[in-house]
Formats: sequence, C-alpha cells, structure tokens
Amino acid sequence: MDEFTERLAGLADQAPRLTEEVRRIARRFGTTEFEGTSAEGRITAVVTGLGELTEVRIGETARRQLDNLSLGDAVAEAIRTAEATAKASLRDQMAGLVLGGRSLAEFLPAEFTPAGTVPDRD
Amino acid sequence: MSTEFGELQESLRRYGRASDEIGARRIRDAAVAMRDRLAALMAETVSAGDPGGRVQATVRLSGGVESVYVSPQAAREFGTADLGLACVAAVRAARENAAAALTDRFQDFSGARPGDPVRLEDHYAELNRLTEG
Repeated sequence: MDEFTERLAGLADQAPRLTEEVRRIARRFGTTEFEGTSAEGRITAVVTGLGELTEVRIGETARRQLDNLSLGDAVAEAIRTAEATAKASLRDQMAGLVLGGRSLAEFLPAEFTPAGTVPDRD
Repeated sequence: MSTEFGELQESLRRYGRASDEIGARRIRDAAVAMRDRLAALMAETVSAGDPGGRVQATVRLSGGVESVYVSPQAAREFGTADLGLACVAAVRAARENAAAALTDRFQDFSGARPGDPVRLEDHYAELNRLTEG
C-alpha cells in the first residue's frame, strides 16, 4: 500500500469516531447556555449554543443610572458578548477534534475565529 | 431574470468542462459576485419590537444583533424583569422577521419564484451535476 492509500485508509478509520464526537458536541452545545455581560456586569444576556436569546437580566442600578439609549446599547453589547462566548466555546471544542492532522476548528466559518486572526489552512 | 446565482450557473454550464484561462476567470468572477451579493444580503437589517412597541431591536439577516432601542417610556415605567422580557421579545421578533426576509431575498437572489421551493432544489441539483460532471 503506498503512502497516499495508507493516509486515505487512516482518514476513513478516523471518520466514524469523529462523526460520533461531532454529534455529541452538537447535542450538548445546542442546549448549553452561555452568558455575556455589559455595563460592568450589571446587564447579563443568556443565549443557547444555537444562538437563541433566552434571557436578559437588567440590574436595578443599571436601570436607574443609565439613560434609555445607553441601556439599549448595553443590552445589545451583552447579547453580542454572550454569542461570542458561545462561538468561542464551540471553536475550542472543535479544536480538540483532528482529522488527517487538521483541527476541525479550521473548517468553522470566519465568524468563529478569534478577532483579527485567520485560520491557517495550509 | 438575471441573478448572481444564475450567472454562476450559466458560467459553470458554459465553461465548466473547458480548461482555458478565460473560462476559469469567468467562473471565478461569477463566484465572487455571488459571494459578495450573499455578504451584502446577510448584512441587511430588519427591526421589530416587543408586543407593546416600547423596545425595538434591529438585527442583520445573518441574525446578529445590530442594536437595541429602549424607549424613554420603557426605561421609566418597566421594572427590571419586564424590561428584560421586552428586550428578549423584541430580539426574537426581529430575528423572525430576519428569517422571513432572508427567505424572500434568497428567492429573488436565486431566481426562484415565491412559493416555488422546487425551483431552488433544481438549481442545487443542476450545480451538483455540473460540478461533478
């Protein structure tokens, strides 16, 4: 068996285990909740791994001290932070899965990569 | 109607089996045009409010939250729990609008007629046939 065929056979051997791992991550990730905060922790947003916004908690001091426009901005920031946390978590979990020497995290869309970095696809 | 999707499909049909540079460039240009159109589409925004209309959320068609507007009345009259619920309701409503808008826009973009989902599948099947052929 030449090197190419050996490598191909190796990939085929790894695929079923990886598929099961990805399924397990997807099942767990969809129901896991992630939090993001803003306004020095006084506003918290909760999203699921699938991106559904489930809760926005607004502290009494934030409501009293922020004007209506700042309050809206802080809510949006908390949601974006929660979503970024969810994406980072998925990226980290996928990074542990390797197929043919390449992390599956490399194949996630650009929005899942840390700000300012480009995954190495060479 | 000419669309970016249709242009790419046509380029693949005409040049997909050729190996000349001009054909390859036309396919690449069509693919880039479609990618740019998709990116612009996903960056479009839609808005919706909570049932009382006192909190408004604006989201991109990709689903990302662009902004949340809390009206002075909401900031004044809602308790923290109700204000949080109103924010959640507004974002959810905006995302539902975004999903509906994306479906509509994608039908325009792909050349499919509203209420004609079979047409989209035809496009995919044709593209698969061309790229695998």
